Amino acid sequence: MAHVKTTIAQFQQIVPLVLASGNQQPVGLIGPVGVGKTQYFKGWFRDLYAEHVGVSADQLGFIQERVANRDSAEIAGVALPSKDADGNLRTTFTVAPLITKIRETGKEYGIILIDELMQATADVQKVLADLLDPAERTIGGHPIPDGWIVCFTGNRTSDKSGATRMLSHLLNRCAVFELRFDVKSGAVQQWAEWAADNGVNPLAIDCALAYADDGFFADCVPTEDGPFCTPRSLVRAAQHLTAFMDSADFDGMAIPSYVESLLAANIGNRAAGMLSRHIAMADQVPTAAEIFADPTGANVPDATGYQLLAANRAINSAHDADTGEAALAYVTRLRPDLQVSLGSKLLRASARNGWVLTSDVAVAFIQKFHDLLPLAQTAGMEV
Amino acid sequence: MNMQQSIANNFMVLDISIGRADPMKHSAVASDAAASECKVNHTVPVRTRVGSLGTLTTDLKQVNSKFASVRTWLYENTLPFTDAEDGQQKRGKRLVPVSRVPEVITKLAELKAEAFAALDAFMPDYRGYYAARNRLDLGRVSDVDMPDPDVLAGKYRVNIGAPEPLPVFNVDSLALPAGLAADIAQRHHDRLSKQLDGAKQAAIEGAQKHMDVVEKQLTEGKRLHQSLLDNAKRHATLLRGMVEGYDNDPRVLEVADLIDQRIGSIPNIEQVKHNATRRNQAIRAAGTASKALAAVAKAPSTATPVAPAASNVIVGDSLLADLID
Repeated sequence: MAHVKTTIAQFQQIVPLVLASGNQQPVGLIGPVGVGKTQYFKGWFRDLYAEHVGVSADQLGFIQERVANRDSAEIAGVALPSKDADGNLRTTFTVAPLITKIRETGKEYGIILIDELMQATADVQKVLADLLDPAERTIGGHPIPDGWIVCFTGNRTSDKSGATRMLSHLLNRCAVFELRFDVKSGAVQQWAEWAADNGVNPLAIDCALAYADDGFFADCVPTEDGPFCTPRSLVRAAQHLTAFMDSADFDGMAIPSYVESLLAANIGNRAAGMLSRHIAMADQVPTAAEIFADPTGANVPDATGYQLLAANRAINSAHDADTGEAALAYVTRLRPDLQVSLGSKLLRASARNGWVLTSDVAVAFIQKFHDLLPLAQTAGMEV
Repeated sequence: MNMQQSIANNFMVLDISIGRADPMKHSAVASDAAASECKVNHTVPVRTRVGSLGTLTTDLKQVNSKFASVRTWLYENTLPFTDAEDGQQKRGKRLVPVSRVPEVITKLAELKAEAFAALDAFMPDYRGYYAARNRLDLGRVSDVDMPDPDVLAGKYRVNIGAPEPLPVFNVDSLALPAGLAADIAQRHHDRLSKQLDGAKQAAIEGAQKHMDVVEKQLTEGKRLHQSLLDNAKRHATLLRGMVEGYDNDPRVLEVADLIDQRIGSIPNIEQVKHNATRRNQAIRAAGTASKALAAVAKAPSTATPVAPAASNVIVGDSLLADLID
């Protein structure tokens, strides 16, 4: 049975419904490493819950419990032998540390994030069962306050992060979603918006958008040991890149091999190579904004790769019929093979995203290439 | 190869004809009696019909519905091949993608066999009834006769025509004056373009209407029926079959994919009833598909009117028009 796949945008619509239901069902996001699951709960989820209970986000308590390196006794509390007033031996339990932490916040409302739940042992998952059960909401026999809600993150078994399958009785109590991260779902574009708002190096964002369809981000953990590109590792790499570009060593174009090595240590050789080349050609290739502003006059680089990059920049940034039409007008100036594959990709995206292109340019494109369009599809020429 | 020639290789045209007996017959006697009984002014027309098969009339209607279902299936699963304008009747020949011809022929033969099986099951009852009760159950209605069983059975037929290739005019094969040949070719191309574009429009409009129904039903509907999903799949198939054989319009193919992925892939309507996530996904997909199809339908046609070979065209007034006039 596969997990239900979702995107952050869709999850943003789901969460208010879960909160509004009042059943306090825990929600969980699982998925590849480094795609922002934990970050989501720290940011947007926290805002949604604050809005739901009518307080500001900083008035919410937030406890992140990394359960992967805990044993069950650390979660539930420890059994202590003691004697009662009559001198009989009895067992008492310490208060679960989580309860203590909640009390220490002094907050009426809060979020308990169980991080890396799937990396926890089966014993720990069992101990957490009552916490994750909306009908119980206890840990070690102690109830959690009504104003506190539980959520969790984890990886999939295929992510090679030591994750195991979630125990079925937990799965049955919570709403679990698998987070998608690809261009088609709009997740890359959404990440790019977040990254731009959070000061991530624009060249790294631009490169991610341009090459997202070309395997810039790893879609699974590589079989060989080594770094790979995820949104998280790209943000780290982008910080190093910014530090280098701010230094006197940067000539405005070239990325020296030692810097590329540093980038590769975060995002892998392949993505680092793409990023280096992207920076080297940045001045030759028009940006999406330049293409949207003047699709018939914007520079069309001679090299195929640069043409591809320019068009992908525009296509991945197109967000309405006007920008889509501008991107198509630019695409029709490229090499014929790129016209077919990129035009097909753009027209499909326009239909799926609700700003379908219907101009004379779009119609003429379909007329002109009607017999080549299937080749673009079946031969994997979509770029 | 021009656009129309390549399209001609992707489609075939299919025609069927169906014969049935109408068991309801007009009766002047019954009309007069009804007018009199109801005290209708004599200037008001009253036209009453009587089941000519007596008490077996309803049974024959069920047989008729089996015969009608042959055409219904064909019309639901293929597209019109006609140059009728919007609002005009679009009966007649049907356009079938070549890859689907075997499936369509097989299904039609199956439905035809079911229809005749229903007729064969009915006829012995009717023969017995006719022999035993001829006219007795028709009371005072003296101007309606029960049909002879053999005559009745002879009225039933289902002719499934042999699939034909699309007619593409080859100007080079005819020894005609160049101007006349070019004129005929142009008119032929224009007509074929209209017919094919009409088929694409029919596929788009059919799918769009159903997406509107899906969106409305899933949003407001209380009794959801499996046909919502089945028809979504059918419309996606029709869209894909038409577009892949015609202009490969990526916009429409994306919509077909969207319908298949978000609506057609739901195996059972019960999943929609009990799964808000799937339901919301399907609602959003239906809304997006409807909007996209509406936009494509309003956009200029992608049909390319291909001009005949320009080298031997005599430019000037239409020679064909002169000859016809």
